[in-house]
Amino acid sequence: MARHEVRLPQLSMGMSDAEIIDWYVEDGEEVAADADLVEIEAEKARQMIVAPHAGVVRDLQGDSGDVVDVRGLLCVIES
Amino acid sequence: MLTTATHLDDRGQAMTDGTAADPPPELDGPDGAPLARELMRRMQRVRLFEEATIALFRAGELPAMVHLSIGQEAAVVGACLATRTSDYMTGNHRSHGHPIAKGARLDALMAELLGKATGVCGGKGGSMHLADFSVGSLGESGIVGSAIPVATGAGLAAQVRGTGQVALCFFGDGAASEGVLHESMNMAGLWDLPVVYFCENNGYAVSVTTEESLSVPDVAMRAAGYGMPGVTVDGQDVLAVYRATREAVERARRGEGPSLVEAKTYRFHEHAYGLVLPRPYRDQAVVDSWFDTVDPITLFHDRLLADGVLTAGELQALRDEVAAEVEAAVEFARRSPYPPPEAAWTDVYAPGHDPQEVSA
Amino acid sequence: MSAPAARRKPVRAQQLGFLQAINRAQHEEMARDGSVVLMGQDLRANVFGAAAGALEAFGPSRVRDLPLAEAGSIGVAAGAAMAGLRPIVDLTVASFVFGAMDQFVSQLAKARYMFGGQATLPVVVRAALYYQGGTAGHHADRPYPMFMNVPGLKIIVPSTAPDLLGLLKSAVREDNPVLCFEDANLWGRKGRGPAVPEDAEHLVPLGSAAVRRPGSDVTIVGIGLGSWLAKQAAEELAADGVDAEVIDPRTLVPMDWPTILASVRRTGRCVVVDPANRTCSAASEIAARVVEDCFDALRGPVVRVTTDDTHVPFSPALEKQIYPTQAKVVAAVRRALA
Repeated sequence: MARHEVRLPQLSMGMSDAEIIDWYVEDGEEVAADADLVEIEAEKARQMIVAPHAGVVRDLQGDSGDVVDVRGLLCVIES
Repeated sequence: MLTTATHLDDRGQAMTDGTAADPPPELDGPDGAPLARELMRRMQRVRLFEEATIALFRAGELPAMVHLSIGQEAAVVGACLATRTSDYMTGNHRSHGHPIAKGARLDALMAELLGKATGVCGGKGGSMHLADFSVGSLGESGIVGSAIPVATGAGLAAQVRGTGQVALCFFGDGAASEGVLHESMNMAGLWDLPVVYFCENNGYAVSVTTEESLSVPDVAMRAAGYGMPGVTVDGQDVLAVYRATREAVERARRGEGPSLVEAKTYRFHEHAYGLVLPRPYRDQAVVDSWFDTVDPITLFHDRLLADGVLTAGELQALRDEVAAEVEAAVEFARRSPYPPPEAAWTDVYAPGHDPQEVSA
Repeated sequence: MSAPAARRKPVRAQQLGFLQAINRAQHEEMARDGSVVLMGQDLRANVFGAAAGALEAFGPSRVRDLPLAEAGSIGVAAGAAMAGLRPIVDLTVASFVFGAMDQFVSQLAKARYMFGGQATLPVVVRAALYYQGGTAGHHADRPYPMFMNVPGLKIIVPSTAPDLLGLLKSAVREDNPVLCFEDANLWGRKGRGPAVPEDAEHLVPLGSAAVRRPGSDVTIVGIGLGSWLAKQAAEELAADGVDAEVIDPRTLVPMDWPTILASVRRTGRCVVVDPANRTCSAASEIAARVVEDCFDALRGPVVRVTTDDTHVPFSPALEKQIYPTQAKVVAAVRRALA
């Protein structure tokens, strides 16, 4: 079983962190690749972070309103 | 639409109330004589001012070197007379002719050359950085090409504000190699800005010939790259320059965008007057012959006589009048005081700001 | 799209963000004064995030996407200002100023002086400092000290969104060219500040520093992100009984010398935190002035915490170590106190 860490990508120059708007998955949910995981808002715009792999979502980090640093852990996908 | 010239008073001084007056009509019309007189008056103003400058230089009275427009009067005057007093203008280090031809007062210009408090820039600009905002002269630039975007910006302001003004942008063949010319002409072409780019091509950037520095034979050919018309005219023929520039100015005023006018002309003196170059780059005998063969004032003088537009007496009277004005300007400049030492620290910022720290 | 699992509406603090502050300042000033025009790259698409709605609100004559021509753009702004407009130029990345250096210095800064006060140049140039984010050599410069060496320009480096709003509005109303350097590290939560009511006219005057934290043992002057590092370091030091005063100059030209010098006279110690490169940094100027004017009051060395004199490397393994950090500020304060 592989464990893939999903980290917050830097979506634009100057982006240092983002706020979690809403999770679109729950712990233990099975997702396909490219499924919506979490909507985040950086200074410029809201964006959806999608699953880089198919698998089971684990270890959701943070809740709506929490701030995650760029390259900070968002969740883990087990496949 | 053209009307009779009304934007100059009888001394040739521009009215500075910003009234918009179109350039005068053609030489061969019923109003030809006033136009001829004005073209000649302004060329004489440039020539005699520059000759007075030479005398001051030789006498050691000038605090710096000067770049003279002698030989280039037809280009400078033909272009400026095609604009209104309220139109904008920028220029370069070969600077005296531009504000003179635009209608600036000679006394304040001469005082500036001597670094006096009564100078048009209060003695802070000097020969290379003349400006007279009252006649639309937004400044000459000692850095080659550096004022080209400034004229372009003045054109942008005229467009955004809807004032109907046009910006006349003088530059030389040397500046034709500068990057800002490309950036500026692209923006002007893109936005249809009311700007007339006017190249005084005197054949030399100090010692380097246009053949050695330009990738095309005519600077005007560059216009095609920016979606604007380009025309090359005989820069010794004041009427040809005037007509070409007037067409470009009218086009700009109609909202049809910028143009490039190139006047092929001659610099009769050294890059800076009195500059001694270790190795000659042009044949002095040929240069000396230019005074007899391509002097724009002589050429126009002879033509006016031949065509019966003005009499020899009228032309002499006009010259005498300008000579008296230049003489008075020199006397005014000599008599004027130097600026007080504290002037060195003013005008760095707009009024209302604390003076900067001064070393003990 | 999969069905959302959580549906709670996020509760968000009523705070003003950095880019919102810029956008609001521009909108308010353009609405107030018809001669204010906005020129920059990618404004229509709002690529840099601070021009939302500008084109729709003010039209293509006053909101212009510029061709890629940095020198031409600054010179055009100078000329437009001399002829009656008040341009705001979004130069986007601060490293792009170098292509326009002649226009900044020879035209924008000097025209008023050389022409004996005839020219007035109400131009605002905005440029963001994108360091710490892997942008490497050509996008991560912090070049404001170079411009401090050019008389005729004013320089602001806001570090909170309300300050940015208020300073930028003041800058647009200035009859002098103002360069606004925006620390992009503050685009996130750090740079946020208290919400400013929409109907409030929020102006921060140029040349006025802010005391971020009062203290009595040492003065820490912090510029841009440096003011945040100073504050964090001050809190760390407070645990050891060191009471640091933190001052954010906010404007570098004109500098609020009275506030800085009075503070150092009181504390007798001074540390300056500046994200610019070390040599001839803003920190260097502040340190020199403090030594010149407060020598008798000083009880320790004036210490600069700056970016080291090297270029910005790309690799995340290399980049962050060259900049000021909280730990470096704490160490500097200990040295100043020693």
